[in-house]
Amino acid sequence: MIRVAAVGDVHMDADVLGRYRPALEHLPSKADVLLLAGDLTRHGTTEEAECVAREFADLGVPVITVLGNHDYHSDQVEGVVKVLKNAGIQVLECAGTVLELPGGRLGVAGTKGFGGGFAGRCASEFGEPEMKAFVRHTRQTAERFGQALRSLEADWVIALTHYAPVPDTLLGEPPEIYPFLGSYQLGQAIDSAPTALAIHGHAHCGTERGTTPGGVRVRNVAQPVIRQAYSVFQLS
Amino acid sequence: MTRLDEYTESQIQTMLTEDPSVAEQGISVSRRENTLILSGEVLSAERREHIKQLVASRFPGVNIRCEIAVSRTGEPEDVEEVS
Repeated sequence: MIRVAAVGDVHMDADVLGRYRPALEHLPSKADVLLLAGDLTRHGTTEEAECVAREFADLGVPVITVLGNHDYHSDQVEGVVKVLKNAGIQVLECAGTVLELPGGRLGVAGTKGFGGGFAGRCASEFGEPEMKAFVRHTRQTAERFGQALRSLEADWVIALTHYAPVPDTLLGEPPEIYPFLGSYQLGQAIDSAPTALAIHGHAHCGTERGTTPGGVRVRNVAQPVIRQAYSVFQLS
Repeated sequence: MTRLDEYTESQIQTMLTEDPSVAEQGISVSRRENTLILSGEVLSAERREHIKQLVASRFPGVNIRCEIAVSRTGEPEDVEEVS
């Protein structure tokens, strides 16, 4: 049995330092690992990444994260990743890791992901270069993410993304913006592996629970959705 | 005085995302008669107040109803079993 804590869209900056910390003090008694589902910062600066490190490092459990679109905004991704890694936070992008925990081996593969939309209402790699580049980025990311998921040898596999892999968890968001909130191709990648649980953020106005077409449980842990410091999932 | 119409609504939505002092994508903007309604969640009362004041200063004359809530960040009380 493994307990997984998860939250996304924490949007740290100096003005909210300490906002999560009281609830994180008892984390080791509630969970074996903490997953962060991207949008750690407001503008993606290294200064904000330092705030993330102060808030979410040294918690007594491993912390694994993906980045979100906000974390790319200032074009300082390399610096942001460096700050997080130096603080002991593992950053995944189309990559996976296996944690040897007392309850078993937990495999986590992660990617930011990207948009494109869902069945019947999705964008295609067609037309202008800008449009093709947009959809190609999603396709290539999903392909590499699927490979990372399938390569994990673990008792449980978790898929961690920022963008949504299914439309179920977007319920509450305007349908017009679904193509900017996620892609079916991420769901397809998740279903290509023996995934136990898929975690994502990004959709602040969405809903918590969904399922991929292959039957994998999907949970939107965007902080405004879960309305608590983190959610806990028990894999058994 | 700013006229509250679809263009103003779009400008406000864009400003809430692109203004570096806000950078919020989770704030919904809607119109009801002559009132602009802001809703969603932010991490602090200060961030909420800043949004309200920024909209009021950039779009003078627009009636604003601020329904933005401050996120709750307490400890979870339950665990979801996934098997």
